Amino acid sequence: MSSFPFISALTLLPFAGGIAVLLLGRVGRSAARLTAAVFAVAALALTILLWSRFQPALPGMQFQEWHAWAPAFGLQYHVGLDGLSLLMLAVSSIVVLMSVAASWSNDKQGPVYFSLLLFLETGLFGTYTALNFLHWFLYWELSLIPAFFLIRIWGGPGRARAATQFFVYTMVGSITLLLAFLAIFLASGSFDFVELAQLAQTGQLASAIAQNLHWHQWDSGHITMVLFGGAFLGFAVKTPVVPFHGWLGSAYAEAAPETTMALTGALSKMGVYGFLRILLPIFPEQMWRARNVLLWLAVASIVLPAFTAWAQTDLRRMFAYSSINHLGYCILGIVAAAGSSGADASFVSAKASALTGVMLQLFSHGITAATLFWFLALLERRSGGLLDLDDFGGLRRAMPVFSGLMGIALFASLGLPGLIGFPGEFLIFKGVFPLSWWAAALALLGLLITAVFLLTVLQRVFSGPLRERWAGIRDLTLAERCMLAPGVGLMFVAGLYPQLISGMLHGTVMQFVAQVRF
Amino acid sequence: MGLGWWIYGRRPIKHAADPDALERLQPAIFHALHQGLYVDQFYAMTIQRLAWWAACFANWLERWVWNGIPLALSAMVKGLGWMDFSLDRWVVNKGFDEGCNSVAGSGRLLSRLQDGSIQNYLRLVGAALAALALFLLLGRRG
Repeated sequence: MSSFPFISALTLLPFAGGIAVLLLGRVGRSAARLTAAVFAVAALALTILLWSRFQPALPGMQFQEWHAWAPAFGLQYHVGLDGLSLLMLAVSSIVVLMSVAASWSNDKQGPVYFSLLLFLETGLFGTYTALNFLHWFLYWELSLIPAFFLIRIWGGPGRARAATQFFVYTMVGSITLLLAFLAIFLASGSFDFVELAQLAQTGQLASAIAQNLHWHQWDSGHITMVLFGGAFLGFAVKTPVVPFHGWLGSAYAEAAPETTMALTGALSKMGVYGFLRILLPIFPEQMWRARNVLLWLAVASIVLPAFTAWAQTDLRRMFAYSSINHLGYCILGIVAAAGSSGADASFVSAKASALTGVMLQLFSHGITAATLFWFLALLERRSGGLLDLDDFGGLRRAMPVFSGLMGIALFASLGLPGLIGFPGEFLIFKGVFPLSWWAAALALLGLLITAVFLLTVLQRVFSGPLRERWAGIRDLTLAERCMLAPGVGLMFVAGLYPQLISGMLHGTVMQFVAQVRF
Repeated sequence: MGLGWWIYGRRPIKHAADPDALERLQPAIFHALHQGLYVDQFYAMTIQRLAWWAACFANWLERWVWNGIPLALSAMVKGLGWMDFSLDRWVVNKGFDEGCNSVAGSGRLLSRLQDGSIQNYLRLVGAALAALALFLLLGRRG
């Protein structure tokens, strides 16, 4: 236990910032956005402090805080960090800061917008650190509310429908998740993730379910499978996994690109985080039993969105489907690791490789997707709202710096060696091939198509003759270059020296590997 | 190399605009080589076209299946809502209202008959007895 409640302070910091922004909103937009930026920077600084104090070699949770809240309901205030949580905090704080910076010169986005972004950050921080289901679920749902209003108020013409669709889909997943955990609580008397994982590893959870849940004469295996299905649906919708992804296309396309930065860069990681934090340790046997279905879903989440993205002409929709494709690799890595029962050294190494790749991919996708949507926000403002592939051509001549930097982000997204996207995808495939060669082989098709459509963007937007209407289009200003530089720089740093991130994950990954050894 | 010399070396072309030696000897082979043995065309017609069809199919799936199922569910729920509303409005409410009106009408009629005046009750009893007597007399004759 740490003496100073770092995690509580970090979680409450953006919330306090959101309140401060609302109060200062009366003074003016400039004061509000400055306040938002100060709090977002402070959150990032506190995350870096936690990163520097974190000891990756130690197993288990660090910086834990534990207080009784409502023991009768199984509710405790239990928060803590491992390598995965820390990584997610880092992605969230970077992406929210990027989103605040991207909204800096968008006059439509006022104090309420900035405060909602900060409230969203609190929801994310809480989700990535809470270790008691009810406490965690509170933040899980809390993050939904600002996201809904961010889409609903500042989106495009179809925002109302997109926001409703997003909300309904996510709520359906949340309800099944809640019901599954209420049943687990009835059986085991615990909502604590760490305790439930231990019960699952020792087989006590299955015994508790067999003893305490009697549904229609079902055996405990069937009941646990149903509970797994409920929890799976919650995370599959949030990630999203095909075919539970219907909300994503319109939500990302209708939301303002600055909002989509936060949605794709930070919010979509909650689903994958749930797979790792909850499904893998608490339902290892069920994941193993359902491995074939899950592998097919993972492959479908990689291949189908890649093809769909290629068929799009709207850049927002194209990147939205690309986002499903990229998170599909994460699901593939997790499912392949959970779905193989070997325990010898080569299997352990493959599982560790796949899971390390998943975590690196979460980080890299957060940064690249947020950066790409930032470029779209800049392009949309300059083009008067146009973001169709057919609207552009030859922009490299008029906007060389913009084209160059966005080109780097596109290459990072397609996993070019030396850039941030490569280590994660490489490790996932390195791990998945020995565990499930056919799934890895099919998923390679998605990798190929991703390269095709991202290169199509480069070709059709930036190359060729410059259209006359874009002759006077403005390149990036000095301020924009300065704001974008850290993100683009991080793509090189994390691509050339992935140890910077993977070094923090070793202990956590080995713990997950031990948990999936079913 | 020998073949190359035989085609091009024996009679070298004098001007750049002159037709190629192989083109003169074997126009079909020259054309195939000139087109890179049609590898690009073959690639465009097979792999590229197939991949693009797959992309169009995935887009179709996205629009009509993955989005279509929730839309169909949504339409079904709306339809059920409308049906429930209509049932409520036109069957339950209407039937209930009509039933209530009938009961109220019957009540009004009965309240006219049962007005608390003993003379009226005796008149009614008298009329009923007269009707009964008439009925019995007519019945005996028949």
